Amino acid sequence: MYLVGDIGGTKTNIVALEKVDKKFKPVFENSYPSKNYDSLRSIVKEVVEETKHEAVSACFGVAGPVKNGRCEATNLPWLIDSKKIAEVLKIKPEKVFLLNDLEAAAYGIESMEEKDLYVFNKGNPQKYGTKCLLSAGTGLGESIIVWDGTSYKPIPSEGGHTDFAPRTKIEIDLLNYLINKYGRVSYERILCGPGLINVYDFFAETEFKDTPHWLLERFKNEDPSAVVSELAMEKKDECCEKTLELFVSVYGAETGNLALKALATGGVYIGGGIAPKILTKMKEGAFMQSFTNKGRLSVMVAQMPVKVILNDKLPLYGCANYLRMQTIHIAAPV
Amino acid sequence: MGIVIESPSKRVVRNQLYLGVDVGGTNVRATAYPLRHENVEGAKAFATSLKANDYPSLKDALVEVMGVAESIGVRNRITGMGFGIAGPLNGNKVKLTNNTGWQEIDLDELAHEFGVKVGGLNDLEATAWGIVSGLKITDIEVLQTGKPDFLGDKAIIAPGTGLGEGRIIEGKNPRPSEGGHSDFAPKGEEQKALLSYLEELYGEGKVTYEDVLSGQGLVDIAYFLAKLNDEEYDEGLGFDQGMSTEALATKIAKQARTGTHQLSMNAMNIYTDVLAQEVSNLAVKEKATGGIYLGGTTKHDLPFILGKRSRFLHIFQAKRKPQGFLPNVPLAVITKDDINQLGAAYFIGHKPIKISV
Repeated sequence: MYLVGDIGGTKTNIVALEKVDKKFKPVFENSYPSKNYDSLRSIVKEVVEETKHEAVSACFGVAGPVKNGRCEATNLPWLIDSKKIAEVLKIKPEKVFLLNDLEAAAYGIESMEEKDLYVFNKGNPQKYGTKCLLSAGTGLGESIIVWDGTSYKPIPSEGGHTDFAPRTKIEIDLLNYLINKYGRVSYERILCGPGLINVYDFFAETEFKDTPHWLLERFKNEDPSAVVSELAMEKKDECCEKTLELFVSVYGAETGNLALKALATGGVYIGGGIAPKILTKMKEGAFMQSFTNKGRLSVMVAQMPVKVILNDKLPLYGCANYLRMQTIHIAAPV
Repeated sequence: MGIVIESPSKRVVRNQLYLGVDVGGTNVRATAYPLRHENVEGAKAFATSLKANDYPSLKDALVEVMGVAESIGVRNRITGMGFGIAGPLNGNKVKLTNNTGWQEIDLDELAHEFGVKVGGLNDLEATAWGIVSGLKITDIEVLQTGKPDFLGDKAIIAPGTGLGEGRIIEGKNPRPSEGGHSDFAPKGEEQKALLSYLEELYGEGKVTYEDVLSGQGLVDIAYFLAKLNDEEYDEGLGFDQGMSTEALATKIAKQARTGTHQLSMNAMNIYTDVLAQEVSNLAVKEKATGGIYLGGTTKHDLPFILGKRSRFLHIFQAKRKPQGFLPNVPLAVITKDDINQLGAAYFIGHKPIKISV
């Protein structure tokens, strides 16, 4: 059995795979509410008891910095240690791999099929060309994915922390507003769930002066960024609409910036939880407009394929691909 | 990611030399190196610099270079030519983006004309290969030592006629970038005003880092400051009519270095602040644990940058996250004059791993 997992703040999804005809086939699949467990180990223990399969290797994608086979999860009180997981699975510690969530997503891109993608721009992809991935969710993750001669490999990026470049009068006002609030302003202050609320607060405080009572109630009881995007999509609140409009435009601009920095002639991918939810809004045009608005380089970025990843199992595919690559590596002639 | 055209002739040559040629807007600089295995050994065989405008085409300039080689008896040892060219590669042809009157460069034609293996690279890639070939401590000026990760990714930023950027994956595989064309993020009121000034020139939402960090950018910063001060900049500086942008930029940089002109110093202050900001952005975008190299015209600005090194590093490190990362990123200015020639020669001499990108 090959175990793969996507560890999230709310739920941890686990899939067990077996090799059938040289291909991975899922034999077990389950979702665990992360908050009900004290560690990943407890979940893996349950999986082992339930499946009764013998483990070969395992790979997990987790939000947090991975170092020397250990990771302190960003949104969970877990310290994940691959050695401890290996003990439970009764395999060698070097057979357990931890990937940062964005790395896991990047390794999954190759498995995405037509139905898993919404294509903004078909473009003219270059064989072996560099790819890049932007992923707005609880934070803004970025990754540059390069062909190393045998496969695509993500190189880590912290691009979400680059300085926010305002392009319009309103964006300058937003920048000033955020400077007052935070001092320094990176793209991540705008392009993620909490960032969307930053933009909402900016409009609410500067233009709309106050937030209606019923909306404050909803903010209290639900995820505020989900509420803002929902109301904007349904065109039920003008302030929310303006918020999402600006968000989508900045998302497009930063996508273009990363695409140029990476020279992503192989394709530009949008992952993360937010994009599929606001896809209708992104389709209205502002996203691609700001993506391609790059002066002399507009022609070049217009050649780059731009795709939104709709399949939320992307990191699981990534973990499976990673295991497959490791297996090939191990199987190479000595 | 670089083009290689095999030699049309199959002659066997001992003590091979590789010619590295840096094709710039004003100068064509050629240097011949003996490259053995992966190391650059021995001294340069010869070096020459020509004015592009004196020749109708690159081919004619190369005939002159080969003449020099002939005169010292090494013409027959040259088995490869590598070109670092300021312009985008398109198949085996390169269109020059700068101000020579030359038409497209045809690499196939050059391979046939001179009977040697020919390699074409973008100028930033040539710099990258120069770094990969191995720099000595005397080839750089370290701005920040940091904690270099020798297998980590490196990044290059090179202001000049434009703003070149590039990166080296895992310390050995150069990759191109067009990051100089990403949107300019101003910091502080003065830079915000500069952004508005540049928007008048280029259009709203169309101002990039290259519009600040280039020869043209420096000239525009000076004009912006002159406008703020209500000064006639041309008069104050004694700019001659018809001076090229490059000459203007050189003049401003020189006056700033020597401290002879306040407005030029102010312009260079803004320029180096923005440079530090973009170097910082580049460091996080590439997660350049292997270090960042500043190339292009930065070596000429080195005395100015060294004079305000602590401010430069303070701006470079000014990011909230990732914590503790930026102080560990090594920063160095490339002072080696023939870096692009060496890189181009190394590229064609030490046949690089075949990566078709």
